Amino acid sequence: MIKLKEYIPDLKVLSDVEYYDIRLERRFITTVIYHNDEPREISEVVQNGGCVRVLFNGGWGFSSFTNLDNLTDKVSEAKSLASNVFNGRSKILSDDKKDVKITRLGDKNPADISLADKISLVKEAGNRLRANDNIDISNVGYSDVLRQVVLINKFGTLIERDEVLTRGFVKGISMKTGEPLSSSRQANCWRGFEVFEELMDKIPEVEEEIDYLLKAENAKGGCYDVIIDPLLSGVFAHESFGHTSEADFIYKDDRMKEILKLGRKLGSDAISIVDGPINSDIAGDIQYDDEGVKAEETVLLDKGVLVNHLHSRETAKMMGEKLTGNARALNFYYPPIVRMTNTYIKPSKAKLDELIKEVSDGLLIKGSQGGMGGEMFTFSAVLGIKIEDGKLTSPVKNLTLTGNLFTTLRNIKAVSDEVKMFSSWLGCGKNEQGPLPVGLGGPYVMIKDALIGGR
Amino acid sequence: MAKEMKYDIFTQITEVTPVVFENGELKQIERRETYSSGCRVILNDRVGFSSTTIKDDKELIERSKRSAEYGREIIIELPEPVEYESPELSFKATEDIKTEDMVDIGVASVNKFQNAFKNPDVNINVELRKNLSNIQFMNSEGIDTTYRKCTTTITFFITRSKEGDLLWLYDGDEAFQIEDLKIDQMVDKIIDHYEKSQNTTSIKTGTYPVIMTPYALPQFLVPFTVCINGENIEKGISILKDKKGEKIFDSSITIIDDQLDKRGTATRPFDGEGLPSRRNTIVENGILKSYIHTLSSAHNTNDQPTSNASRSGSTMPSPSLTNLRVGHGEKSKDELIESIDKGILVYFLSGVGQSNTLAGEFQNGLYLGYLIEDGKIKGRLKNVMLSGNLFDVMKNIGGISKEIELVYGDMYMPYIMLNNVSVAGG
Repeated sequence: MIKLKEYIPDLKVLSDVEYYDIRLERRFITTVIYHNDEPREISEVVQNGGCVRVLFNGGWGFSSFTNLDNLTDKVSEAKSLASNVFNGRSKILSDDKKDVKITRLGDKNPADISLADKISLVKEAGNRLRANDNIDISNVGYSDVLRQVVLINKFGTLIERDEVLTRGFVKGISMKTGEPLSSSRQANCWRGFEVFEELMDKIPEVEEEIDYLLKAENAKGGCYDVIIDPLLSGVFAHESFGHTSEADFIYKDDRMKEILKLGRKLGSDAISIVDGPINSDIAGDIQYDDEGVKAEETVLLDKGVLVNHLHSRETAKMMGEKLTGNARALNFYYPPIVRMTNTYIKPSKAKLDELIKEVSDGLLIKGSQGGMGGEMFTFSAVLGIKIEDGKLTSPVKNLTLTGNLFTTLRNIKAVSDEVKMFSSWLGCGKNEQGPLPVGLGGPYVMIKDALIGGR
Repeated sequence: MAKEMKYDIFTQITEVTPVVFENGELKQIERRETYSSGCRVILNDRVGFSSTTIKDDKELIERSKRSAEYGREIIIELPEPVEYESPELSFKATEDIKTEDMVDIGVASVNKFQNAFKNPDVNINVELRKNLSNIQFMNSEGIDTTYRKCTTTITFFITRSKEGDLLWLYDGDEAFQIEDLKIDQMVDKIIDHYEKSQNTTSIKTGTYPVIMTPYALPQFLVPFTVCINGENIEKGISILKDKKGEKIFDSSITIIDDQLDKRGTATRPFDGEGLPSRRNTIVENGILKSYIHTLSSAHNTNDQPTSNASRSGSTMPSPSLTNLRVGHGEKSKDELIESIDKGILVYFLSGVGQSNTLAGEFQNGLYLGYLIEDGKIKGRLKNVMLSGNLFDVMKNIGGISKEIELVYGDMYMPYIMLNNVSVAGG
């Protein structure tokens, strides 16, 4: 097979542009999804393609394609599209040339594992779930993406990737109460087949949660003091605060620039939020973004004070801030936009027990069935446990947490001492680009006066 | 090829041209070209699938056959050639639109906003697109056919940021002909929202009448669309399983999936399995008449096919709605609003599809909605949640508007007043 970088043509035509980057990608995707003992999808998919992005006279041109054979034309096309942007005012921040090879194929490279073996483990996961008397239905999914990527840019940077993203979910559904009650565990990491093997060890957590849901009554809507678990605190950090920190929503909006001015105290002293690599292989650990910028640890909120935004080359330049390495594209079809990587809330020294003791009438809320962020957020939890006079009492289900980002940041009273990180099958969606692999997490977080939707 | 092998191949060649305006300025012009081809093989009654972006990928069928070894048992007859009928899906005038033309329309839309607002707090983002798609479909029974579809889309993302009050609004439309994009209407509507939401107000927790506007109704109906999905019926996880012929909504509700609507952009001559498009009555006078099926979900539930297989060049067929039409009522939308002493007018919901949708549950934040008091629209409501079961609240309807609006290019929706919705307020 021809090496990807050998497709890159002569780029003389781009010698007078302010910036360009070219990304070429080959993907081979295997997916196995089972419902009970029945395969719903078994597929192998080839996705090859690339894109050229050009900044010329202040305007952006972007051309993407699945045919790698006429790149010379595509380079000219991208430049010509850019030249049609009249009065363009875009500028970008440059950085040094980088020459990087990233190889992440895991302990067990999925390329070396037969489709039959992948299927057999997925079936086993389903069997284990359904062996539990309370679980009537199992849904199990496995997918690996073997990908090679080449990225070059105007500054001479060359980043070559040879890596695998493996993801999975194990979900149990109980029909015992007449309504489907479900619990799942998910993983999404830049490693091999072992990611799914490790995920299977979490099946007992699914069983335990289903047990709990079966005993739960419906939550009553209202205003409560709540403690959210590490997964929900990660969802809050990502969906509500993280998306608001993305500078593409800020950099051309003078009022947003004031509202989200660095140095402003937005939250209580208890809350600090970070985005960036965590030196692991979790979904958001990308090392370099799709503009060839190194992914940095970026403290966004430090003890309630806003200290950074998340940037692309363009937003960093226009706001006079430093590069953070957050320009990411879902694949070759799309241009990079400002995205998160791993977003998490920092821990403190308090123990969870101590937080619970402080609540007289409230809820401990666990798990996530999805969320939508921005200033007004809504997250669906999996289950809740009532807290009465500082003690955990009975389980509740069908509850949703909603609120205003800025009010909630101020109402965070305490966080616990241990951060857990999560990654999910579906990752993050923004505009039309999803699911993008991201990580999120945090400690237990205590929020005063949170609005809970129930029945 | 062995005698017992059946297959179908869905090939899609697309050309999408986005023109992007950010904060009122032209920023970026794109051109995205893709080729993708998906092959489904049924070998000894087991299904396999593979897709590729490589033209003439020699290994496509081999990979599909390999996955068919382990695939699901699927006992279906693939359709034979028939004459397909369809409204015009690709107009020359639309195909001939140049990026310069789209730039002009974008500039005009931006100007309209700027003239109306004169407000530095408002940030205007607009994106226009031309979407050209060539579909080729062939199968082992001799179908070998193509169609071409060309649409234009416009998307607005308008933000008004004030300290402690951010209002971010999306709206969009899609049409076969660019002059059918309801640009002026959308601009007026967005301006109206900004005026109406200058004042915010609150509502106490309780049960209230709620009017779902045509923009919120598709979001609100998500649990219903999940529950009628033939694959969820087949899996036995939908609360609407075995409910065909039963009353699931108030008898004033009729819902139709019209795959051949002239204006609706979800129209196509045939579905992802080569079945001719048709018009399905899903709910008639409150009674569930039909699910939405692929060939296999229909077969496995002893049901009739409904031509609802949606498919792209890289995905397997799966059931999905096309142009959705909710029937109108007798009252005007103003009469509905005037009939309410205290209630909510809903424009956009958040958290859609997050709750236990298979049970019909909804738990939505009110992303944009207004308090109705003494029959009049008061301020914008914030920090409000609506929850309940769709199949309960849709049995108690206070009225449906006679006005129908086409929203998002493929949904015809009225205003529906729900008498009793549980509301958590601040």
